Amino acid sequence: MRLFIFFIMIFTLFTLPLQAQHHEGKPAMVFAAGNLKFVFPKLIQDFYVKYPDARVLVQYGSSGDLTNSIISGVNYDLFFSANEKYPERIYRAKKSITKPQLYIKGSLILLVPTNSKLKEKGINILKDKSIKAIIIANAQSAPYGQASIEALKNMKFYEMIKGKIHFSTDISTAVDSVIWYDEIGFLSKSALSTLPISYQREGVNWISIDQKYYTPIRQTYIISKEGLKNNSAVKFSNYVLSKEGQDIFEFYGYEKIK
Amino acid sequence: MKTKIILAIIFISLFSLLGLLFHNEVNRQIQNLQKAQLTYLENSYTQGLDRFDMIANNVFAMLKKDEEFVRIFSKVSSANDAQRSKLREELHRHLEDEYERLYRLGVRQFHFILPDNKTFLRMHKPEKYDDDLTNIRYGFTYVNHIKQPVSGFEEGYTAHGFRHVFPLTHEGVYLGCIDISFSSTRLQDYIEKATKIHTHFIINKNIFELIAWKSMIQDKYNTSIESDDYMYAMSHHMVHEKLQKSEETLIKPNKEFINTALKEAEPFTFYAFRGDETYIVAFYPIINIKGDKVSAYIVSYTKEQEIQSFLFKEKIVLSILFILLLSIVIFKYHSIVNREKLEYDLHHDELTDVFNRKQFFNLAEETLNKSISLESEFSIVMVNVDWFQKVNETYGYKCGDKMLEEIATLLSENIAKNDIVARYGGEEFILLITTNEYSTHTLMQNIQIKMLEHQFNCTKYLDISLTLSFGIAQFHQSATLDATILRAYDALYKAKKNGRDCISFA
Repeated sequence: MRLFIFFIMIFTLFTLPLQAQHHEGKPAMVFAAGNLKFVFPKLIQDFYVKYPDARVLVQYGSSGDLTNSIISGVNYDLFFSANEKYPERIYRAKKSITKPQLYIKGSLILLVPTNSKLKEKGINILKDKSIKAIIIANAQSAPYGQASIEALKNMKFYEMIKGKIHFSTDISTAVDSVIWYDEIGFLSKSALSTLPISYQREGVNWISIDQKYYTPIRQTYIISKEGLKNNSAVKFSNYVLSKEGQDIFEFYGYEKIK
Repeated sequence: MKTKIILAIIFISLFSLLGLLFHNEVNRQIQNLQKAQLTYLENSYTQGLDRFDMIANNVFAMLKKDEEFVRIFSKVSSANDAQRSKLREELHRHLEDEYERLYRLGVRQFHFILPDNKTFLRMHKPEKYDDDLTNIRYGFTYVNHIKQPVSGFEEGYTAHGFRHVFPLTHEGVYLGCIDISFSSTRLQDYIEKATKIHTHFIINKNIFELIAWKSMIQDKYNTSIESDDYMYAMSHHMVHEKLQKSEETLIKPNKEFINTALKEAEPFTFYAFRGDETYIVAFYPIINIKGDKVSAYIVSYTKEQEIQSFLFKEKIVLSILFILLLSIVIFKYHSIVNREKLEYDLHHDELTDVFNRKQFFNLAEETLNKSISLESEFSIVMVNVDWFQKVNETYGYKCGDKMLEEIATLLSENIAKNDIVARYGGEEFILLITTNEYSTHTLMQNIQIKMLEHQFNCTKYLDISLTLSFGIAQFHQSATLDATILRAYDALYKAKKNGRDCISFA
């Protein structure tokens, strides 16, 4: 954890002055949850088309780790979390100027190996003996991991399969485990965008987890005092909430807030 | 001595035979472990290839359904250079995101080839196109000709990889082929995680000579630790320190074996030690896309402590076997020696070490029977030490006994090998001489002279000589042994009567 904070501090110190030389104003330092790793590049690309002078620097990490960094004093302008809880903690710690604001809703899917007869078995595929491991995002620091455990418990599968659960630190490893090693994984629906088209078939490669089984994943963001003064940060947060921004999120598997 | 030699031969033979049998059994068990490791490596490798096939087939299946892709690619063959250039850009744009996703999944080359074997688009190197791969990539030439998919290991311009080449036809028109390739590193990753064995690839240096863009590959390969003729792909699997350690301990002592085996292009294994650990090193030859064994191998180093346990058991069992056999042989030796001593004691006179009376009769009976059947001659001689009672009284019984010993030796040394000498009782000896009475007489005269010259140990500083009286009786074919002895006795009596120190005939 200390190393993570140290790394972020170094990153902040060295990249901000560099970027500032090329663009008007200071680049916005954006902290983003791991599940945004795939949608943000596209979002930023379109954002730059609309605001060519704005600049954002993104640091990805698990929401829990990023929250700890912010509370420890690491500077940021915007923090896009994978839930409501962590921004709320930061707000209460007086490290943000705004209250947590919803920017997108996430949902869980179950990604399975290609030949696993998902159509016949549905969610009961979790009971399949041929499945050696179930991959879940780290439940301590990643909201999608917490939601996955909650869903498993509510679906009464948890006790049965808890021995098979493996925690993964990032989406790529989880996806790799499913495609290459016949494991199955609870992922954010947005993770589908990382897969080749041949692995994006609903009912064949994945199914949605009914949202009644887990607390809605309401992803919120906060702005720091410095962020509010940063043009790029303000513009970017507005763009995230705009129709264009929300459409991109929807394309990547998220649920729009409006 | 003879017994010792026989027992030593038996011991060496038994120990060698049993030791060899056990050693062979241990070797068989170790070979089974090596074989199992080789099979495991082969299965892991095949499993990895199956996984490549599955992913490549999935990707190709979706690509065939991608209308936009088919639309663009189907226009290429009838397009001019300028149009082709636009179509290439269009196709690149269309597949850019998909290639990024495939790349993340492990696909390294996503390559579109026209029916004339020329590259239309390399997603991994879009700036390089229109080059003719007819003599470079067999897979493309084959698929463009046969129009059937093919997969396997194949060398390329810049790298080696596991290729999957699919033919693409649209509305009856053949459009060309598509290559979906994975790197050997991806296969290593897969094997390491799926089957928990560490592997690497070694490729014969000759193959590098065939590669057109040599300058671009230099940094990716290093000379293999297994053989100077081979290179291995540098990947994150290669830990420098580990390699160095392995080279010193596992490879160097077996380098000659490895070099010989590599020439055979067949799977092989050996085991070696690194410190306290035992490793099985397995080599599995790679079959290329043509179906030929290429000069490339997948190699695994697997810790196998069971070998050490087998070798330890072998040492223990051989030690126990050695001790056990040695104990048995020593026991047997002692029992034979004891039996021989008992037998000797039974047949020999305790004092003089010549035959005793009982054994004399046994041996004499045999000679008699032989003599009857062969009609050969023999004589019985009764020998008595003259005035022996006086010797005992003068020099003591101890000295008398010593003298008797020396007389017995003298008698034994001066008769033929087949003749018999035995102590008949007191100071009396009996001889069986396998010749007639006259020759016997000459022999006895000779003994008489030897007796005169003989200095007895216990009286050597005194001028004392002992004499012997002899009674000779030749065996007659019709007589018995007892009768002949009796006649010899009579002759002895005669000799005594004639003043002793003389020889009389019966």
